[in-house]
Amino acid sequence: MYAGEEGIIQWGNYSINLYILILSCFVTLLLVILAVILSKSLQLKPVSKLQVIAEMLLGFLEDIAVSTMGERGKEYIAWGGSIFLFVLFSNWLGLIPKHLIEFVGLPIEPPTSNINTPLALAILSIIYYNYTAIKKMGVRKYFIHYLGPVPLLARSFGKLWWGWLLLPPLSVLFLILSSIEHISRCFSLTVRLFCNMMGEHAILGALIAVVLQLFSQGGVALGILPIVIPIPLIVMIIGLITGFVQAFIFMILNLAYIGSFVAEEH
Amino acid sequence: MEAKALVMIASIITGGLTIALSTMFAALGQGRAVASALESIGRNPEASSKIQTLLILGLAFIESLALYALFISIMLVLANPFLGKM
Repeated sequence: MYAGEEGIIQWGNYSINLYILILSCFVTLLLVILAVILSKSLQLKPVSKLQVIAEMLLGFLEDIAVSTMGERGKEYIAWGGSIFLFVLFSNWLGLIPKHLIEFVGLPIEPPTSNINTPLALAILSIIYYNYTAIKKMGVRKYFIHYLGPVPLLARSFGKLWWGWLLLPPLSVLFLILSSIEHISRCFSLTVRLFCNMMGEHAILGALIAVVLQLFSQGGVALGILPIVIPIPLIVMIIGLITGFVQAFIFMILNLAYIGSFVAEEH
Repeated sequence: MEAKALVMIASIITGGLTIALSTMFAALGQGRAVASALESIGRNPEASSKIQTLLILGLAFIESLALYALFISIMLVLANPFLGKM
């Protein structure tokens, strides 16, 4: 909706937004370069500041994973952490105001403020946690998990003759409900990230447009500039916090979804 | 033309009302959540880090309800599906 209208390529019935692709590739490239630089010369007793920073980041991610999933969470830092860093950096890309950078020829928007990027991330998350659940629990247990409380009910109702009339419709109902649960999780992950980033970016853009308008008018308007200029800056600081919190929540929800399957094993 | 204008008026009013009402009640819910979290931190300051994580998670869930409404109202105002059929 809010993507730059010029960068759209039509490909049959589908339209591809080139700017968003370029920007998310840029974020990925930045993360890869950072990872290479940070892990170039690792030592047991860190002397370089870069290694200390990298270890602090890893410790932070580990703390979150352990506090949401228990000791098992350490296995999933690779997934949760990469999602966290990607979302964080693409959210913070939105802090560069669009109006000031237009002369580059590439309007900079956070890739997460286009609905396609959050949707792709959410679908990947759904696939990943189902895959993890199947790998950890086995196919049989995974499908029993879909039935919800029906196996427990079968244990108590199974002795009664009318229990067997009740169980098949109930299991079909729970199958449908748990399938809807996955779809609604995907939808909520998408819309939460997309609406936050899009709304914040739209507000920032509008405020900066107001300030630029006042600049171009000059004269009387210059008197109120000292009052007007700090307002976009305040919104930028709020955006710094919002971007972090959204990335954090995306990661925590991913870990919690994995945990809802894995934790029931014992 | 008449029907199109009616649909536009209805969707603009509904979009505004949607976001207003949902923000109102989501703010009430978030306020209650933050208030009780602060109260429990005051009672037991050692548990503050655990409470903070849960609080942020809960706030995100409450906020997402308001964001669904934002999604609907943006759809009504900017990309109305009913206007295309006219």
